[in-house]
Amino acid sequence: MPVPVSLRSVDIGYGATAVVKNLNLEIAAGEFLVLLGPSGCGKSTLLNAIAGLTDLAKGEVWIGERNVTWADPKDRGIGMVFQSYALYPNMNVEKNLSFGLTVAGVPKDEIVRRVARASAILQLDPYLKRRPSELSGGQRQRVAIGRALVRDVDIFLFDEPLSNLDAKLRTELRVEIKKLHHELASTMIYVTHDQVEAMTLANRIAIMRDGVIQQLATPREIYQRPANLFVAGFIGSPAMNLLKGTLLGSDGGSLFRSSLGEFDLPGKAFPAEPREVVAGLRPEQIIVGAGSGLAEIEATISVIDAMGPETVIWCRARENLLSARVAGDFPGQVDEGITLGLDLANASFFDQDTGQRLP
Amino acid sequence: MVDQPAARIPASSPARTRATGRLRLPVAALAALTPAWLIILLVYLGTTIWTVQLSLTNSRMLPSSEFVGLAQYERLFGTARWTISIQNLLTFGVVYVVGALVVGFLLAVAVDRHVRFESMWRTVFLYPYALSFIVTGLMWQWLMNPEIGIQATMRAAGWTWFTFDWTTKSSMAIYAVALAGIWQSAGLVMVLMLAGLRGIDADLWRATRIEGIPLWRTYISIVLPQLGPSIATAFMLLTMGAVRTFDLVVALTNGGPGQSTEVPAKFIMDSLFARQDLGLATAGATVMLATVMAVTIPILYARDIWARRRAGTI
Amino acid sequence: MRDPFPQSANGPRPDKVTPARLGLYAFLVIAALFFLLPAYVMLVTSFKSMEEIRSAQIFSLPHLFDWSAWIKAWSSACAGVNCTGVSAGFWNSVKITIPATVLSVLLGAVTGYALSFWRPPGGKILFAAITIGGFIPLQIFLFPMVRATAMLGLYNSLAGIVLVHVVFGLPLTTLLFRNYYASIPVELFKAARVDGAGFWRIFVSLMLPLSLPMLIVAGLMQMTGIWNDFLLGLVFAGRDNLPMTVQLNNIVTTTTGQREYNVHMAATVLTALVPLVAYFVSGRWFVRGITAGSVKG
Repeated sequence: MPVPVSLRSVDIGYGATAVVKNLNLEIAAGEFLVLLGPSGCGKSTLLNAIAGLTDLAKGEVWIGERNVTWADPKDRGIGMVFQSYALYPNMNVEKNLSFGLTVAGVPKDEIVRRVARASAILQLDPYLKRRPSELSGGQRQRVAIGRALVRDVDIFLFDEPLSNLDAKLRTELRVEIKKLHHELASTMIYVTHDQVEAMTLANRIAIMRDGVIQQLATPREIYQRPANLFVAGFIGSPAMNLLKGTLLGSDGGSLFRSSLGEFDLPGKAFPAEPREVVAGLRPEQIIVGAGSGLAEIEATISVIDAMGPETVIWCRARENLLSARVAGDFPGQVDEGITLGLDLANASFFDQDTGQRLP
Repeated sequence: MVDQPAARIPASSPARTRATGRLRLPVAALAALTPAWLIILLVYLGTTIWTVQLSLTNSRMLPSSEFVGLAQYERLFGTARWTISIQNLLTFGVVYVVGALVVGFLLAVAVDRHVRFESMWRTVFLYPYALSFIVTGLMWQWLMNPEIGIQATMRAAGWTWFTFDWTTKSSMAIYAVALAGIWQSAGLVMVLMLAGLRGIDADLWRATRIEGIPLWRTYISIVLPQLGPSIATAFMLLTMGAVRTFDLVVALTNGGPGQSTEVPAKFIMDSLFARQDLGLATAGATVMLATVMAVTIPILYARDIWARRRAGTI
Repeated sequence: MRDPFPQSANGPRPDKVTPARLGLYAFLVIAALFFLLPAYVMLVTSFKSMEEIRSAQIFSLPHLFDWSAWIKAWSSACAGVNCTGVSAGFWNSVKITIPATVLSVLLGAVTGYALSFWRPPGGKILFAAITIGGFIPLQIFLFPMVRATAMLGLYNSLAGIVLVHVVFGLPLTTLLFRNYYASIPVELFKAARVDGAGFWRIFVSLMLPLSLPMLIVAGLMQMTGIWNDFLLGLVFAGRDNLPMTVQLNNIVTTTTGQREYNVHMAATVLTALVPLVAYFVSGRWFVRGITAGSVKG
């Protein structure tokens, strides 16, 4: 049975060294939640607090119907997977999986059954008699996941589990974790600084910065409607194009005035008083070529990044450098003049002072 | 799923670049190593050969060149004081090495448990290691002196049954030496073990907490096996110290009472200088050398393999 | 056992004094007493009068702090017929320790540097020989070394004992510096080579300044080691240069008249003072020296 997790008014650390301040987070039963943010944003600390490895300064942690704020890690019904794998180096894979159960006094046949199941799910059968030092990084991490699996826990915690792996293995194991979540339907909380992992794995992402959740939403929502400039810059590669300008609102539609010209925003209603804003356009919201029916500007190609299936071109338009996503067989040349259409109707607008998204 | 081995050898490890990129060697480099070569060849190798060679001759007061095979060794092992010295060394060595390892390990674990004033505890446990064996021996000689030491104090305080006179009892004197040795060296073991403990992955500790493995079990089943290299190092240093023990005995008991704390190192010194019996002294020194090499070379070799395995080059 | 899931739990887990924690501190306190008591007894006894010492209360503080034992220990206690106190030994130890420490550290630094960066032919053999040499018991060397120093006219001289210390200090200092230099990126050395610097220029201008921490550590280890030496000083220093440890032992074992325990203990404290001060002042450097020196090869 999947269970929900709830963090209520949580502080971690005191005074000047506070890592997390007054944080509230509700994680639904069976949800895959990713805590995403740059290093030092408090995401790992928060995970350790859920696990019971770090004390709270204030607030409560609830797992299901139980207030586990003061409970020992082992009593919380959690399994945890670490970045460094944290396998017992002197024990073989089988012993690594069964050691915790043996210590907890689980009957022998039950241990055998659970180890066999975990081993089958994670395809560990050929390695059961090997020691961690004889395994590859990917195999080690699968054993670490297996160690959480045999404990029959309600909640899985992942602390940057793929960061020590190379790119290819990371992709493979990511798919496996996703499959595992699908099969087990357990609640999973996953910490990473890698936006691709976050976007692909999560039901919802909590983007953190300086101990504060900046936005908690589905990957699509976060990508399309970033709550502020930090989220807008953190998610997406290449990053969102940002254009400074002034927004003049009216009922029927608004006007965006920038160094590139004045553009009508039909159908977008903003307050009437002029506002200093930043317009955010994803690279795919900039269309190359005239006649797109969008707000058109003239620009010069300065760099072409061919990536195979697609190409990103970087174009100079006055003081702005704009990236646009085009087809892989894009024929243009560097220094060529080009017309760009800006899809301002779907753009995000942020207040220049607060950085917050304007609705 | 095809994984590559995790312990990949970096494409250009420093060792390899260094080995392949040998430079034209300036004369200065060779000149700089001349003292080291001279010391190794003349002193370390030369005197060892000289000593071993002397042990095979019939030298007594003066060196002789008459080869007598192993006669000096026969004489050596026929000398009661030498065999007693060896027995004493065995008793002392076992008690001292095991004692210092156990005490040092416990100290390291205790200090590592996030205690308050950690550096103060460490300083207190390690300071005896900065003292000479002469000072250590004299301190304990007085503490165990029945007339002015702990025994006298306790008896004066009314505990007339209290006895702590090991240095005056031939059955206990060797344990007195071991006690003083442990007092001096436990801090060294603590430092080595602490270095090993601090090298253990912090995530491993967290994993054991998540799994609910009790602390004592974590230490025995997970931590101790990982301290292998630290334990081997400490074992080697302590064993070396035990075999070399000389000053401590001189200061604490001077070999007595009777011959109950005579040790080989002292036997050799006395043969060399007091009794001027070169044959016995060199034969004894050769036996000592063989013992030390028998202990250290396997451990050095094992540690080398450990280190290379950890570096992933095997 | 209290309920692990109290409904009202909020904030940090309440501190509870567990038996395990109490036991831990009890162990630390008992261990600290074991390690401190001998030094304490020595210190207080050195301030007591002989009468008070015979009253057998080694743990009590002296009724009256009496410096006379210290003065006697320093300047007039007798070793055999030689009544100069430990002061003569102190100055001898200073004269031995300073040049021997400086020379052996420099030799170790040069050897370690040449071995790690220049990779001379036979370097691996030399290093292996030095490593093993560090384990050879001194007794092996004594007779030949006595003969050799006598031949050179260095036996029983200050220069002789200094030379002996440098020779037997080579394994430790070389090892410390070789391992330290192995942790310096070889690219730094290559860059200096590309800039045209030669063997000694790289050593003096680049490596020596970089190895300041190891100079301190190696200097500290050699200094305490040489100061605490007994065997080599006994054999090689000669009557006029006996180091403090040897002189202390001679004073204590001199059995004319009654044993003046207070003087003996004051002399012992005086002998222990130099390495102790070095230890307390250097703190972590000393620990670093132990760990660096034990990681051989």
